[in-house]
Amino acid sequence: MQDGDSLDKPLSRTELERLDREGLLSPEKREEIFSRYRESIDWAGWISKWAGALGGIFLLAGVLFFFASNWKEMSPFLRFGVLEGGVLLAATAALVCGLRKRLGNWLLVAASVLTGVLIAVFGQVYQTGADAFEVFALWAALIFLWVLAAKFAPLWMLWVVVAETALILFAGQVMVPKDNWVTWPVAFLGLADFTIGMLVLWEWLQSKERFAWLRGEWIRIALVITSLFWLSIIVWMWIFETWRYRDKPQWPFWAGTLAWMLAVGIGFWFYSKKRPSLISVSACVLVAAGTMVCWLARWILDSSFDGGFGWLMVGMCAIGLFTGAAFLIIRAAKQISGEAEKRES
Amino acid sequence: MTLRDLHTLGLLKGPVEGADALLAADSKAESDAPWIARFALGFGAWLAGVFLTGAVVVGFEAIFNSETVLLLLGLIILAGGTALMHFKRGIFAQQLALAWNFAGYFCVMIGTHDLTRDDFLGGLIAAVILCPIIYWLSRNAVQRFLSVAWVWALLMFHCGDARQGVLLFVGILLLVAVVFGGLSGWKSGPFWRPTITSCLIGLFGFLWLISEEWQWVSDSYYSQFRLPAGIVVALGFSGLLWFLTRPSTSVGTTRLVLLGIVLLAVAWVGAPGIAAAVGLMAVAHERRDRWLEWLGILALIWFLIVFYYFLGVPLFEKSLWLMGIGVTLLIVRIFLSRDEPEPMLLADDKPEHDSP
Repeated sequence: MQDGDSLDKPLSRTELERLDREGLLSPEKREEIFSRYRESIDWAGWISKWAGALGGIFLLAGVLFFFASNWKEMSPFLRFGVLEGGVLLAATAALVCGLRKRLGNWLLVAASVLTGVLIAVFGQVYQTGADAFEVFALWAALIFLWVLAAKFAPLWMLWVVVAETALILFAGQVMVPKDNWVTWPVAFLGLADFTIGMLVLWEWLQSKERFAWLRGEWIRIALVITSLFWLSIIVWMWIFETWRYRDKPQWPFWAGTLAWMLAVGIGFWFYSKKRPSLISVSACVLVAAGTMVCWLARWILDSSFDGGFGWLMVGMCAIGLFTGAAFLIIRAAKQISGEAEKRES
Repeated sequence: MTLRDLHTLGLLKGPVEGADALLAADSKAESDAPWIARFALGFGAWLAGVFLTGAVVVGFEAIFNSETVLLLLGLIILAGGTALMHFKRGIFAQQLALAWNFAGYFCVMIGTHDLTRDDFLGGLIAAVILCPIIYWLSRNAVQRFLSVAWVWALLMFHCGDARQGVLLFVGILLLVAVVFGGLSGWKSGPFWRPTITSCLIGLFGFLWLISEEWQWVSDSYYSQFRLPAGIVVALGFSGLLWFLTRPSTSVGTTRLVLLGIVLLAVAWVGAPGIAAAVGLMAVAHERRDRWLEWLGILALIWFLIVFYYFLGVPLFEKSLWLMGIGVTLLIVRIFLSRDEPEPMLLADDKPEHDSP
């Protein structure tokens, strides 16, 4: 019995070439087959999709570059006029098109990006002396209502990126320089908390039918990798740069490492059992393997850098750890595809 | 076009079960070791290879202290790793063999580099000789990928180090030719796939090399290659698309010429990498190859970032170019959407996965 799905899946050119090489295509009809394949490619749709996406990205990037170049010929009045006009035009057009329609959504994204440029130009013209984090914080605050109104996942993600940038700049410009306040490990712990909070919120919301608009595996992957990154930096700092923080309290390192272990463990369990996601599981496993190798390398080579045996030991441990990682990923992949098949049947 | 279509229209030779089984076997090999698992294996082997090379260099150099010994030792390790990979299955054996191969390659390269008095040319020649041998003997896609990657990586190092401009240009030409050969269907299939992927990444590496203002060379050194490389890229990808779609009417000659002009225009501004990324995305769409399309998208994002920081073109000029191309593309989009149905409500969109 043939699997209906495999017979009805559109063939790629590579698959067609494979069938041809194996002599499974009728030789006298070979040209006809490839001709039919070529005609089945939807070029108009593809060009339309990418022309829209790239056109929008290039245009917004161009506007960003234009104001970043601080062109002297353009008066401040005209700069504000152009940008405010752009924001107003994009937002009005989004309203006219409809906030639930794709074009309306993207127009609101454009308005949100232009709002950020407008705030930056305000600082550029008036030399307000504001810290960069204030620009991003204000930007995040101003577009927040649009994010709620639009119900559009890319705009929600843009808001998360802007908010995270504000937080990291706040840490770098305010919190850490005042040395008696917090150290970088504490700042990274805070950033990880924020990102994990966003991830938990996203996981909770996207499972509800009302928030179907928020779904998208790419959001999960981005949030998982970012959370793991912030926590891993604390562990890596502890492994490689303890000297810098020797006179500082060690609790952030302990707390960060504990949080890292919990995040890796819970992430692995959650994304292999509860909400199957191969990339998220792999991120947890690979971060764990890489960090363990770093720790072993530091620990072993610290005492036997000049001896070949120490290097050999670390090399063999790396092979073992990454073999284990690959094994876990393959097992998770099989489990996930098995469950998907079960659901389909 | 599906297998069922081919079967219904009588275009298949033999039963449909045979064709289905063949394609299922290919995709099973993919699902048995998904790309992320292969990445884990490759990355882990690379990391372990660095430490194993350290073990060889620290352990044996203290005894022999000779470049020739290091070179020979590297060849022995390489042969051992390849043999292990050839005869042993299982993840651990594959990982160990890959790490050995890395260490062997590293030792051969360091040995030849030292023997030829700190010249990358020696390593390049060694990599060129080893590449076909390892490629044919190995059954592992990661090892095949890496045997090709060593060649272009050393070519790139040699060109950067010795300022061999002609060689750099020849390298780009060769990489485009291999990509053309692979993606045109002349040499496709699982055996050639690692070569094509490796050469594409190598091509992007070369284009990145000439798209930046590096500190170790004068500002004008790489700028002279941007336009010729851009022409090669624009002609290469639009030519490839023409080759794949001929004599179909789905992509007309006018559209292909237009694509060539756009790619050339982008390359002219000093961004051949963006031109190559867009060209690859178009070819990937024609081949219905998601992996290549993603490679193109990632390369596009990367080269846009590189372009922002590229100092060869003033920021003001860059902004005008970007806005000009952006507006042109949006006009094309509006022009094409006249024939499209009304966009659907997002709420009516099918969810991307079932809610748990």
